[in-house]
Amino acid sequence: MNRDQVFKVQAYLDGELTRSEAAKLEEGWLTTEAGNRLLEELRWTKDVLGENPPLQSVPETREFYWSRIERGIISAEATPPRSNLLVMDFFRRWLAPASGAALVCLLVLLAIQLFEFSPAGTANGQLARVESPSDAMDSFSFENKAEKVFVIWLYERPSEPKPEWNYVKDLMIQ
Amino acid sequence: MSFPLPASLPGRCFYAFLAGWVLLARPSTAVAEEIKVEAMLVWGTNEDKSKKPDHQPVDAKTAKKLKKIFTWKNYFQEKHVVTTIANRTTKKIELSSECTVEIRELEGAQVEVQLVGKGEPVSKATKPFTKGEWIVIGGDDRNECAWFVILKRL
Repeated sequence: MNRDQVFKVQAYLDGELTRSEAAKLEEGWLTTEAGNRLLEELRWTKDVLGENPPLQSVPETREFYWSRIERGIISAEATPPRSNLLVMDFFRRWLAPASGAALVCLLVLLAIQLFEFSPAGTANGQLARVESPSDAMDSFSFENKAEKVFVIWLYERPSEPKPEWNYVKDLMIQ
Repeated sequence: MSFPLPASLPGRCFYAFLAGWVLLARPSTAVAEEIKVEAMLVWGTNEDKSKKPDHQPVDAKTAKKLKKIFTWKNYFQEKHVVTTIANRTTKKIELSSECTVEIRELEGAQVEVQLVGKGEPVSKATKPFTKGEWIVIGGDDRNECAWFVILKRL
């Protein structure tokens, strides 16, 4: 006899099994001697407990018991609101709007920092634009951010060698 | 159509703050300022002395900064000019008989810097130019020397 079989017999006795499960149990394990004995024991236990419910004794009289509950209800209704409710109310009325305003202040300060006083225009997307209008000169530029120095270095534009005619001819569509 | 004002004091303070910010913050971006610029024509060399007797060594702070970026050992100053450029105007600074730099103050704290060499524009740059920043235009010269036009925003 295992635990599942015991549970199944208990469920059978309490009417919790389906009809097919009950029939299967009746034709199966309950036909054995162990099964039959367990069923009888459980049935006897159930009958005994059902006829003798546990006695709940109340130390006070009925009137005193209910009057105590009534006094509790009345005193709970008369109790002033607790201090943490006051704090929450204060927060809702004053601190929540103030914290919102503080957040807006912070965002405004950040926006001012970004858009008006940003160094080298990197924050607002203003980048350097360097042109070399001369045909003879070209340039490259770089920025040393640590030293806050922007360098444009000019150099002579290398003259491109003229391509060979045969090479050009090869590129052209015949 | 009327604008719904909040009944509570914090709400009204918040709206007043927003209105104040909108009124005060916008003009601040529109107000332009004149810029003060120091322009220098400098020669970089590995020699101890410049070949031109009128050249003076640059001040220690400038030399230190140049040495952090470039490889030349010594830097000599040929010309030094401090000027102020008014809002949206162009200032032409002649640094030598062959070298002129034109600086135009633009919107948004930007400048347009054009370098003119021997009467021909050789470089034009447009960029933000904030206080303490330098723009250095340079190039190689003969005898492993280099020239620098240094613009400092004061």
